[in-house]
Amino acid sequence: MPIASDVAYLLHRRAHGNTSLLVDIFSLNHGRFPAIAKGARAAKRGASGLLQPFSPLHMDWSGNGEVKTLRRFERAGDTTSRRIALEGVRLYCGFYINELLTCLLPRDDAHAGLFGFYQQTLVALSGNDDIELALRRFELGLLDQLGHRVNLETSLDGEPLVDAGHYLFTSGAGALACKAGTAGACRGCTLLSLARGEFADAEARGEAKHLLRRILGYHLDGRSLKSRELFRLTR
Amino acid sequence: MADQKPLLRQLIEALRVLPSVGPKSAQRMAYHLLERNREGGRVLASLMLRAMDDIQHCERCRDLCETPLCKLCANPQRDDSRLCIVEMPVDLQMIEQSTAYRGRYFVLGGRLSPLDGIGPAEIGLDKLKRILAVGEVEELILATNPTVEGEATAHYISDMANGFAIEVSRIAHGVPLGGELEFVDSGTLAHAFADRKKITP
Repeated sequence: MPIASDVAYLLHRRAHGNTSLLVDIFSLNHGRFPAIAKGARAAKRGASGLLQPFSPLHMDWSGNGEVKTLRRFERAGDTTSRRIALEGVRLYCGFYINELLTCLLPRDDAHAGLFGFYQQTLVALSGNDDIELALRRFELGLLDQLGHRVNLETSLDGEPLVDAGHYLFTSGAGALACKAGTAGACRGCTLLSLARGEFADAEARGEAKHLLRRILGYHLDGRSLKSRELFRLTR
Repeated sequence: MADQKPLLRQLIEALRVLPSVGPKSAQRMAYHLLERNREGGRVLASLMLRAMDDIQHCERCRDLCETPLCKLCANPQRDDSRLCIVEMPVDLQMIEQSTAYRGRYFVLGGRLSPLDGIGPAEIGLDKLKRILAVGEVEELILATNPTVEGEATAHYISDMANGFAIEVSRIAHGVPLGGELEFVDSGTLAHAFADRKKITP
């Protein structure tokens, strides 16, 4: 039976039968796919500890059907490489980006760029980086990789955005200039700073969050993200 | 009712509600009960019916019990100032059997797992919040599993408890008793090392 091999992350795991795990894999060259890890729950010596989200793994798998069978897995990267350990709110963020990927990324569709981007986001979340900035960058990057690029520099009628302007985003399509104070409008400086990967000021944080929530909501097609509930206490 | 399935077929299909029982095992079970152990089958059937009707969740700790309050919650000798949070009823049993803990428990019946659609409301955290608000609890012991979901759950609950000025502790994780460092996975070892304990002479 042909065996494929790749670097991958686990997005989610759930018990399958008595001792096996059904895992959702996001790999560098083969995209996202489900797989069964037979006996992994009962295995001694950390096999089940290894099969956890947020740590890169080298995996071998086989199978022609939709659900593959994991043959072998071990921690990727040498021992000196930085271990990704998410704690507290940063862990909630990890769940959030995993949930976004499971909802938006089609199966068996390779996205090497997105994989690198996912990895960068995890590293940013495990360090001391600004959480919200890391999340906004990931959301924009994800939309871009899936072909729904959010244009934060020019409006729908081709005009470049200006710092002092106010803009309304229509159902994920693009920016339209509007009057100051229009409900749901974003300031130009928020959009332009977001395009540079930063926040212009404190107000821009909230604006950027609501903007992306609206755009993602459009692509999620009414599905709500459960991981958002975790942030309720931290607000 | 000519199109109704024969009883035997219905029984085999019904047995498949049990975890990890496929069509083959269900068939073996049905034949075994009918050919070899009808009495056992009758006992099982009546017990099953009674258990499904009479076993409920304890009003206080959400453990499974037949009375409104479970034995542990009804016991006045237990220490009301300490509350231990576990994921499943079986975890409660394990802690009862293995430790000298004399406080109360709260059973979540799961863990925060957004990708399975399980949020704070689904594991009874609003109820836990009401218990904490009463003000009897002084120490909260978080005994959720050391998986990423278990850690997220522990963090969420500790955040909740902070609002009530309650001391919160998390059970330790590390090298198992009788284990050897060579065979411990690196994550566990890193944890054990970071949370090392001072030896007081």
